[in-house]
Formats: sequence, C-alpha cells, structure tokens
Amino acid sequence: MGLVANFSIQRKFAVIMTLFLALCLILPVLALFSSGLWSVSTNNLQHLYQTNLAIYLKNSLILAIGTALLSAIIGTVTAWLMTFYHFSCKKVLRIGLLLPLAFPSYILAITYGNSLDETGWVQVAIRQFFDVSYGTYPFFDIRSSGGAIFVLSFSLYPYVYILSYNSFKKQSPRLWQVAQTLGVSNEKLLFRLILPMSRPAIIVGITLVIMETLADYGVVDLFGVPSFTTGIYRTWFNMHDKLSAIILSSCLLLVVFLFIYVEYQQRSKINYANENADYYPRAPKTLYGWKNIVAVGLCAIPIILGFLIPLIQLIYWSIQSSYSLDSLDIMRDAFNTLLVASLSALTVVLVSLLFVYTLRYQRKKSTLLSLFIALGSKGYAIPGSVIAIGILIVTTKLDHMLNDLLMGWFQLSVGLLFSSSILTLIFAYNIRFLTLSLGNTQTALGAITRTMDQVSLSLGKSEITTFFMIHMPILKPALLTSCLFVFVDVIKELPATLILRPFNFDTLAIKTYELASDERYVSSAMPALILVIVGMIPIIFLNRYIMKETVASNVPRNEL
Amino acid sequence: MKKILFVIAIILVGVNAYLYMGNSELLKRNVNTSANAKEPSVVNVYSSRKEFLIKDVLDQFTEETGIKVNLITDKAGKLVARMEQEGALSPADVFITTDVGNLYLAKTKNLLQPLRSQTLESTIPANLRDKENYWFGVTKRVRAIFYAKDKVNPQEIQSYENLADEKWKGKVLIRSSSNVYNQSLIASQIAAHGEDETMQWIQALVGNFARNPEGGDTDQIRSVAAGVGDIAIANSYYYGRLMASDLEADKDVIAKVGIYFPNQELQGTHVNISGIAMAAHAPNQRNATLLMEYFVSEQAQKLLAEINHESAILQDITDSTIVESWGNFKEDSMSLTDIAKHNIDAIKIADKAGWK
Repeated sequence: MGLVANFSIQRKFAVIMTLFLALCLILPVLALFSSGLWSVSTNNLQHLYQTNLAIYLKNSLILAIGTALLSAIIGTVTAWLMTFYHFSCKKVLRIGLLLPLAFPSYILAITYGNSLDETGWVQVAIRQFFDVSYGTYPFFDIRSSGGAIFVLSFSLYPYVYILSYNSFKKQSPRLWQVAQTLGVSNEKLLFRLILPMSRPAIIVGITLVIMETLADYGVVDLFGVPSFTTGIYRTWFNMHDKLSAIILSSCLLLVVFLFIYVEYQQRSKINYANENADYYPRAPKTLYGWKNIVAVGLCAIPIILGFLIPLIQLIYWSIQSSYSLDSLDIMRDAFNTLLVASLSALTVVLVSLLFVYTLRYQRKKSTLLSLFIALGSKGYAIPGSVIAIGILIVTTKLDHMLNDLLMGWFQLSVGLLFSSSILTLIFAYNIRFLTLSLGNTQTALGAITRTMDQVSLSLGKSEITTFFMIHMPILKPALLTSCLFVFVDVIKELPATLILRPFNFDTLAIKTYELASDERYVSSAMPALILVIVGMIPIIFLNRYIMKETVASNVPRNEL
Repeated sequence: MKKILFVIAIILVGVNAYLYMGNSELLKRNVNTSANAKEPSVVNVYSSRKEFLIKDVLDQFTEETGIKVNLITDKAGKLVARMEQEGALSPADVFITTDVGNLYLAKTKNLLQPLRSQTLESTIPANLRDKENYWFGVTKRVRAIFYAKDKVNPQEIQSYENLADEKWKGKVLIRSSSNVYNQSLIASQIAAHGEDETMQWIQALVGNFARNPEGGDTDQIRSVAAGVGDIAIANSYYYGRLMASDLEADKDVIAKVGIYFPNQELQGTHVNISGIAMAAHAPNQRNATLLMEYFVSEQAQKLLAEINHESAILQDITDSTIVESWGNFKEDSMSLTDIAKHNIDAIKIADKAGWK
C-alpha cells in the first residue's frame, strides 16, 4: 500500500514526466554517439593504440584508485571522529572540514603547483637558505600523478565525509548495545557492523569522487599527467577526430557503469533496511589528553591542506596582483555565477525528487524506469566538454527545426533561441550534476519505511500531509546537502560553461580560467578568491542543517 | 527484456531521425539573403584570444564606430566545434585565434569565408595571411629559445635543429605537444625538411628533455632560472611579461635567463600569428569587415603590441620598448598557409616520438 495508491492518474503523469525528463537527460549522449557514426572524420584509434593509449589508461587508473582510497580514508576517519567523540574545537572543525568543497580542484592545483614546483617560492627559499642548486636536495615532484591524487583527494573528500557522517549518525545505538552485550570489541563493532551498515552512503561518496576524477581535465593538464581525458581532448580538439573521441568517451562511461553495476550487485545481496530503527543518537565519548590532540590533529589536517594553505596563497597573490576588482567586472561575474548556481540547484533537486518518488511508488517494479533514471544521471562521469558538445548537437538541431518551420510559415528567422541561452546552461548542469543529488535523496528516502507511511495514513492524515509532516523533515538534510553539492559544483564548473554560455556571459570560474590559462597565476588569484568565498557562503549557511549536532537534548540519559 | 530492447531501438532510430532533420536548403538561402539587408549595429566575435587581451581594442572599436561587440571566448578547437554545430544559424561574424593552425582548420571545415579587402591585403605581409584571403594575421608571435646565462654561450644554440645535438642531453625544457605553438613549430619543420627528418629531429629532441613536459611557456623560462635545464623553447612575449613585472622573483628570472632568436643562418626564427577571419555564415558581414580592418589600424596595432609584448604586423609600428630591446632578427618568411597544413601530422609525429 503506497502513499499515492489512489491516485493512478497522478502516478501515470509522474511516470511519463520521469521518462520524458530522463530521456532529455540521455539525449545528448545518444546524439553524440549517433553523430559520431555520421561523421566522416578519419579514424585515429589505431594511431592512439600504437602510441599513447596505454599511458592514458594507466594514469587514469592510478588517479581513480589513488584518489578514491585517499579521499575515502580522510572522509570516513573525520566523519567517524565527528560522530562518536567530543574533542576540542569540534564545532569549528566540523564546518572547516566542509570548506575544501568551495575550492575547485584546478584552483587547488594552481596554488600548490605554483608554490611547490621547482620554480615556486618554497623551493626557491630552500635553495637560497641552504645555498644549494636544483637537483641536489630531496623534494617531491608536485606535478606528477602523486600530486594530482593529493590535490583531487583534498578537494573531493567532503563528499565522503558528509555522506558517511550522516549515515553513521542514523545508525541505531541499540544495535550496537546488543552487539556490545554479546561481547563484541569496539574495533570489531566498527569493522563488522558500523562500516558495513554505512556502506551504501560511503560508496555513493566514493563513486562521486571516482567519477569526478575520471572526468577531470584541469588538474591533469596543469600537472602534466596525460590521462584518458587528455586523450579525448587531444583527439577531438587538436586532431579534430570526433569519432575516435566519442569512442574513447564511451569507454570511459562503460567503465563507470561497470563499477556501479558490480557494486549494485554486491549491495543488493544484503538488506540494509532497518525497520526498527530508532534515531536516538548515541552520546559521543569525550576525549582527553593525547587522544584529544590526535583527534583535533586528524580533523585539522584536511582543513589546513585543502583549504587554509591554498586560501592564504590566494590572498597573498591577490595582494600582489595589479588587477583591481573594478577592471575585471567581478560583481557582474559573481551575479551570473550565483544566478545559474541557484537555478541549477533548485531544478536538480526537484528533478531528483520526482525520479525518486516515481521509483518508490510504482505499482510493479519497472526495469525500464530504473534503467532510464540510472542512465540519465551518469553525465557526471563524462568530461564536461564532451557532454557539452552533445548538448549543442541536440539544442542546435532543435533551433534549426524551429527556424525551418517559422521560415516555411512566416518567412521569419529567429536565429539560435535555445542553444545559446542560459536555459541550455541549466540543462547542462542538470545532466552533469543530477548524480550528486539523486544518490543521497534515494538513500534518505530509503530510510523512510512503508510502516511509517501506513501509520500516518491510518491516523487519518492525507498523503500530502504525510509528505510534508513525515517525509520532508526526514528528507530535509539530504535535500539541502544535494542543493549544496550542486550549487557549489556549478560555481566551480568550467568546461561545459565555456562552450555553452551565451555572448558576454562570464562566471567567476571563467574569469579565473582566462587569466590562469594565460599563465597569469598571480592575476587569477583575485577572481579565484572571490569564487571560493561565494562557494563558502552556502556551506556555512547550510552547515547546521547538513551536519546535525549529535547530542539531542530530549533523549533520556538511560537510553544511551 | 524484449520490451526494453524494443524501446531502446525506437529511441535510437528516433535520435538519428532527429539528427537528420532540420538541414533544409531553404533556410541557408534565406539567412544569407537576409544578411544583405539592413544590419543591426552589432558584431559577434568568437575568440580564443583571451578577453583581457582584446577588450581594449574592441572597446575602442565600439567607441569609434558605435558598433556593439558581443564576445565569447574559449579554446579555438572548441569554438570550431561550436560553429560546426550551429551551422547556417551561427551568430558568429568574426573568429579570432592565437595561432594559425586553428584558422587553417576552420577553413578546411568550411567555417570561414574569404574577404577581399584592400586595407588588409596592403598592410599584412603575404606570408602572414591566407593565400586565398580566408584569414589574416594581426600580431606576430615569435617562438624563441631561452638559455641560462651562466651556463650557455648563446652562439652555441644556433638553431631549433641543433637542440637535437647530444651536448644538450637532459637540458632542454619545452611544454606539452598538446600546445598549438609547438604543433606549429613542428609543422614548420615538416614544411622545411619533410616528415622523416622532422621525426628524427623530434626523437633526438625528446631524448634531450630535462623532464617530462609540464606547465606553460612561462614555467619553462622560470625552470631555466631554477636550474632544471639550460635551454627552453617558448614564445617571446612570455619573457616580455616577466621583464615588465615588478615582482622580485620575476626580476631574478630575467637576470638569469637570456633570449635568443635561432635559425638566423637558416630559414629564420619561427613566427606564428594571432589571426582573424570572417565566419562562413556571418550575419553582420559589413560590421565584420569594419572590425577586421580596424585590427590592422595604427591605433589597434599599438594597443595589441603594448598589451602583451607581441610584435605588430604593420612594419612601421614600433613595438613595446621591451620588444624593441631584443633587437632585429630574421623571421621565417615561409607562407603560414604552407606550414599550417602539416599541423595534424605534427601531432601524430609528436605522439610517435613520445613527446607527451
């Protein structure tokens, strides 16, 4: 007995809307493949295979595995400390751990690359202080795959941190009490019960990290680590071989699908639903002495490396740079950025709500529906420039047809209506970032049991009331998290924005990129700094919704 | 399962049908004729030259003519992809790039149209514009060689070709071959010596690399100062910017690194262009012509030369004092049309020789 059991028309409408929207989201990828087949360009796959393909594959694999591991460790360890322990400065650290989210990985790469490489001020200072020359002292090479893993992990770990924190918190302490009375040790409790039970959430986080790593072009380009994305860019935008580039992109997509499918298979063998879940949180244990220091240290490291050091570097460069705020039209760019970011956050959350509810209340399980939704939300793993061309194919085609019609009827040409408007940008962001919202909305809705619906309905509450009174409060953290993820990611988005934006439309990311890619790192610091500040605002504002305080005052002491 | 396959098949057919529609000839004709009617006073620019490197020129143009300039910037390869998709409806009037390779490419993809202009033809040297008037150079970008003053006698450098010599083993710095300036440099070698000889040259050059290619042109010059290598290949204006900088770190680089213009005994130093062209479906052709001609006016040339320390395309314009301080040198006079056609082969050769 579902929530909207009696509303078959509404249900049908929801299903049709879902299918339609999902189709819209898939269309650019399909159009890309099809246009690849039509294109007459020469095929360079043989050439790639003989030369660089193996290197591209190797580097991408190393990056994906390395970044996934490192960000998983940082994310879960900090979330674990935050959930189960009290230590000094906890409140500050809890917000602080979210802040690296505001740093685009390419800006992190610019700051670290230019301060730590052979010509950066750090090595220059070492050479002057010890009076040594380059090569005679040990120093790690930041522009390497290790450096790329470092930069990507410290900018992407917040995904894992937020999702595992919220998952840890929701676990029933009663289950642990049972385990503890059965004599299970604390370590066993962690590895046998808590981590496995949080697996769906942690995996969602890691999947996001892997997808973003595979689609990254900025960091690998700056650090000279030729990855699979480098191969796609080089083939398409240098050699202008569309077909080969599309084949390469689909290989990338296939790998992501495979990964998600295997994980899904593994996961579906276990039932995570905890029908008797009580949401009384466990009181965190207070840490003293050296344990306290270690906990503070562990939580401070990601903030220092992923936020504070690059921020200070940006501020320092901003002071040095000769560009004034005025000459860069920063306010206009900031407004544009905020506009598209908030519109996208809103639409993405609405679309994922629709998808998730349609899936939940379908009468019988439809594979087609699931498949559509799964396909529609995987744009995250495709490099932004590639998906952008797919979108251009679809929207320009729409424009051409519209113009043909108008020309035939009224002898009128309206030019490109769709393909160079903000609408297309919002569409692009929906394709790219739906995954960010869909995964954790789904996880959150999964925590609302059917029994809860039934109780509410049997108490005479309507479906609408049940939705607003029961579902919304439970979904709220997940929805706000989604909003935040999308908002911040749109602010940082670069490749799709570059190709799809209308005339005279700059965002902060574009302004930063223009200066940085012209090798004016110092000048690019000012727009970068403002970009980071704009990204920080929603993080600080939404922090208390997303990362709820663990101790609830209304929980009786003996319950704990 | 059958049902799903069926639905997927229908979608695929639908998508392909959709892609095939909407290319009517009617539209193209009408768009072109309407272009000759009265034009609004605007001109649309797609530029891979960064906004802050042309903004002053465009603003000046608007001030003098009253024609508003709409601007989109991106990497040239992506702008080409965008124009391709937009087809006959593309709003682009003028296409600006920072190298000749992408202009050549846009021409082969039928995205440009020729322009007969007395102003452009009389002011721009013949080797720096298209033989069929599809594109025109507006500034010169020189690919120079930089050396560590304390370790290298500039007379030893001689030529690009000479950098393949064993004595430079582990000493040469240059950025990735994904960079279009390097592609054009390789293309000019192909044009001068043929593919086989160029292949051998690059293989030896890659063997002399001080490290795997990373960073941009400025990074290579800075790395020479840091002692990573003795020789760097980079565009001259990056050095010009360092000379203009007030920062101590940059002054230090200039003190340690010298600039050298190679191939003086041979064909001359390789020169690329920042160029301009009219888009094939330009809706505002008259304004586009005005803008293109404005770019070779004395005023615009002075701005372009000052802004980024590139060399003006007009002979009688004095460059920035920094550029002037480097003195005169012999430039490669081969037509860029003949060089640019080797750009894709250049990428393939770089791939084969292991130049990342």
